[in-house]
Amino acid sequence: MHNPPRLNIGGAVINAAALELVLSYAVPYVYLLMTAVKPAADVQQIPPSFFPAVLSLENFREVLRSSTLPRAFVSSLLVAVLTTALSLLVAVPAAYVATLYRRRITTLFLLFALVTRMVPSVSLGVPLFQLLKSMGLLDTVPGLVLAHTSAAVPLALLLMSAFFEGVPKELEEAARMDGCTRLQAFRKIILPVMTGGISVTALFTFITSWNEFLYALLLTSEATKTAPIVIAEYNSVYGLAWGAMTAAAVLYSLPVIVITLALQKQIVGGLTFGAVKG
Amino acid sequence: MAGIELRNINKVYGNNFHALHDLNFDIRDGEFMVFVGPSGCGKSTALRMIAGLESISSGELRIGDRVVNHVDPKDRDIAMVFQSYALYPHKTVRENIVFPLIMAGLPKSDIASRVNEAARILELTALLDRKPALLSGGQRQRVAMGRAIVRKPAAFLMDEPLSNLDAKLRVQMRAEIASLQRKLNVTTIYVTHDQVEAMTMGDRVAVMKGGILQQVDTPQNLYSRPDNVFVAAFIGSPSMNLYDAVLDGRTLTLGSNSFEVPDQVFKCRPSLNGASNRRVIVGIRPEHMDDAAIRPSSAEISASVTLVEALGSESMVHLNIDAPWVDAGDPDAVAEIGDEKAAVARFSPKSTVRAGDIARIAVDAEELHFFEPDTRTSIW
Amino acid sequence: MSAENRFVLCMLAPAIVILGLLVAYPVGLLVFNSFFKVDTITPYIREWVGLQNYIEALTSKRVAESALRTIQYSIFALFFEFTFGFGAALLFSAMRGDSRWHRTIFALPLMVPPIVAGLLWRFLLVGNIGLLNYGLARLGLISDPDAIAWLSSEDIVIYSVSFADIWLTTSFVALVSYAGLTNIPRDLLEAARIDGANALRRFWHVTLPLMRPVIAVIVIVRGVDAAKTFDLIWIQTQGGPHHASEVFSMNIYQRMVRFGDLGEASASGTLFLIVMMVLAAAAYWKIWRPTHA
Repeated sequence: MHNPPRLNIGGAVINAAALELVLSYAVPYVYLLMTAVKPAADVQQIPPSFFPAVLSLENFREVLRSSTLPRAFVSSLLVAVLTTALSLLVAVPAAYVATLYRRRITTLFLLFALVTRMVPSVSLGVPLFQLLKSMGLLDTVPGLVLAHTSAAVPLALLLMSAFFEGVPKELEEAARMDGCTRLQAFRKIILPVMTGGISVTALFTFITSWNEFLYALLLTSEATKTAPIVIAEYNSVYGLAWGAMTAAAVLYSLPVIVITLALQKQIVGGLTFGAVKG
Repeated sequence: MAGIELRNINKVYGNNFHALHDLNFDIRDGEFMVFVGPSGCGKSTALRMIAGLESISSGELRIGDRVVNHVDPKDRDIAMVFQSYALYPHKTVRENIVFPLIMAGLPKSDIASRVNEAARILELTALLDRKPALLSGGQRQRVAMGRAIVRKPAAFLMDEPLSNLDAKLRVQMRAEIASLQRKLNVTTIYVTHDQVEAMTMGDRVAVMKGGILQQVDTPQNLYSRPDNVFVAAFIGSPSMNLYDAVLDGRTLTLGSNSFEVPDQVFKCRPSLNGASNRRVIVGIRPEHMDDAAIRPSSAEISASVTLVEALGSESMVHLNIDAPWVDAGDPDAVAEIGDEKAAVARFSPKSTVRAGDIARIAVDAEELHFFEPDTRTSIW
Repeated sequence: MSAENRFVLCMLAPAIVILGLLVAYPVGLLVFNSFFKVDTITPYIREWVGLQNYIEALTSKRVAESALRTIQYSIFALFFEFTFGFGAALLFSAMRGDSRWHRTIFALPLMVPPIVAGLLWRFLLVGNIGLLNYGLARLGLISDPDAIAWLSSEDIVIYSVSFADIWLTTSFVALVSYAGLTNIPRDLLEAARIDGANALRRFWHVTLPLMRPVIAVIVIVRGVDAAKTFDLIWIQTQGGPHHASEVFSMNIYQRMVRFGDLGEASASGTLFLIVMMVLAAAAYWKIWRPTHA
């Protein structure tokens, strides 16, 4: 097929535009990094500069020395890991039967899960507060895990359902012919095949919990404060300590970026819903 | 090794769709039985019910001497080869084949020897450590078979295992499966929509349509003694040509043609004797029609030639016979445009007829088939 | 019960319990509370007031304003997210060669927590040290760096706080749209081209209709998310200046925590829930418009 020269120039323009778009998109985050490595005094200089005059790790040292941020990181990590574990435990089997054993109850169930996504966190936050209070779980890790799980499970259900759609029923049937009960077929054959999808779901569940702010704000105070709360508090406690805030923010955003980039292959593979045919 | 008995098996789905009606027949121990029929005829459903993957609505299923209606698939001592092979993608070929043996709790030494034997029979030894994604279609098919035979089950079930292969490979695998079954002598049920596979592989063939068993018989009997119009047209390619005709005494009138029916026919089909202007459906197989110029016969008809396909070994001649044609009732058959339906005849390669000619066709009248117009069953 | 049904129920049970306990029950509690006059700190002391909380919520000026602001915010954010995101997706799919690296870098904002994004944009927008104004002044688009008070002007703050949201989720829209675009069979576009359609017509008559389900998902998911936004706006302005950036979710929060009014907060919360569900359902029917209708 012939491509007239005209089209090539057009193509180059498009490529250039795409590149420019992408780079300018990354600029704000790069700016955050730049600011975090400026000396504390330079952070709020007028007029502001993009690049640091001199590189300094002052800001990072300051936030790591304080006792609140590291402890909050531990809280965030603990809650995120537990939320992910609980959500997967609950959502993976449910999504499996909803997809491969379709019947009225499973369709209703998925619809219910979809609807729960519509519920504004703030609407749920109010009664969750009451519920956790009555269970004595306010300001505890288990309490926050439950709250985060309520948000993460619908997401996990929808993701895993999409992944399970790619699994042919015959795979399970072959396993049952080969001597497995339904449960064994699920554990020994289906689950190992789904590791890609489960990884993706685990990642998104982790991120959902790690990024979560509102429930943490409502349902915790001193004991289990998570990282986002501490970062937000830099505002009132230190005034406008931008240097410390940006350093904390960079540290806080790093785990997610690192894990996402590390699991990139799995994610892309998972997003194509796996080539399970065989 | 065991026989399988189906007694009044019915399958009704939740939306009241009656998929199988009173299925009643036996599969003998060591037999290669083929279920064949157009799409939707219920052959896969029947197979899956024998496997235990579908529940039985009513009736009794026996494997060996056991009633197995409510027995789990894993406890029925049968192995199945799926249309899509359903290989475990995360396991190597060896692990795939070994899996059922591990689930059965066989000792390690037994497992090793069985796997090696199966691999040898199916020529998979070189591939044992590969994963399914790296295998060709034919190789995957053999792994699926390996997984089945390694269990030494009472019966094999195969659900259209060759339909995902290209034509040449299909022909090759057909022969391999048939010889493998003969060697292992295991009861086998094989589902296909391809009547050529059915005819070449089966000891007996069960023809199904619309959830109802049409006839179960040897391939030869299905060909020469079909029970009804559907089976007659389904078996044999190109299909049998079917027309409304009138039999009066010994004269058969086929549209504007008429000829004498030989005595041999009346000996085989005594009910045809003493016919007086009796309406019948007559069936003529393409291979029983030839160019009268080359092989004259006592029974000849005229028809206009619409198309000649010269194959070298024979010529497929499409004809318009001036007589009312009969729909065989095959849901998969291509719908005809207009009222014309061409009959097909297999002429000798020496024939010189061309499209547009009016040809004289010699009919091998001893091979004529006769059916009742209303019940469409064979007249004997 | 058949073995199969027992299996299904067992696998479903944990999820039903969790969602029942953590979603269905709280929602029930929410609606229940909305009919009482009750204090957040002392929830056992309550007084039945019927629909009074609802009436107060629906007639309160502050509540009405926060609802309006939610709408302003959502529509503004959704519009730009959609335009930029869909445009980016079109750009990526029109690109010669592999757009994988572009898409990966473009996905960077997705990995940034909303809190951080909010903080970042606050830093960019703040009056005297915000880089954005300096950049705009340099480009000559504004006269001097103090010309626009993004976060302190009551008139525009509700739109300014959406920049962070737009930055964060344009990537999501772009990636989902891109996936949808690549799923359009090439044959259809080529057939249209052979039939004489130029690029614009191909886009309008082939691409857009086929993208309808994807667009519907994006609009519903992002629209609902935009209306629910809390973190992003909170970290930038805490609802200020003078409640000018207080959206509905923040209003509910204030009511419950600052004023301790659990009953009214529950009523607002219930109203919010109902509106979200109605909108989502409407969006589904109108935009998705099932093809086998």
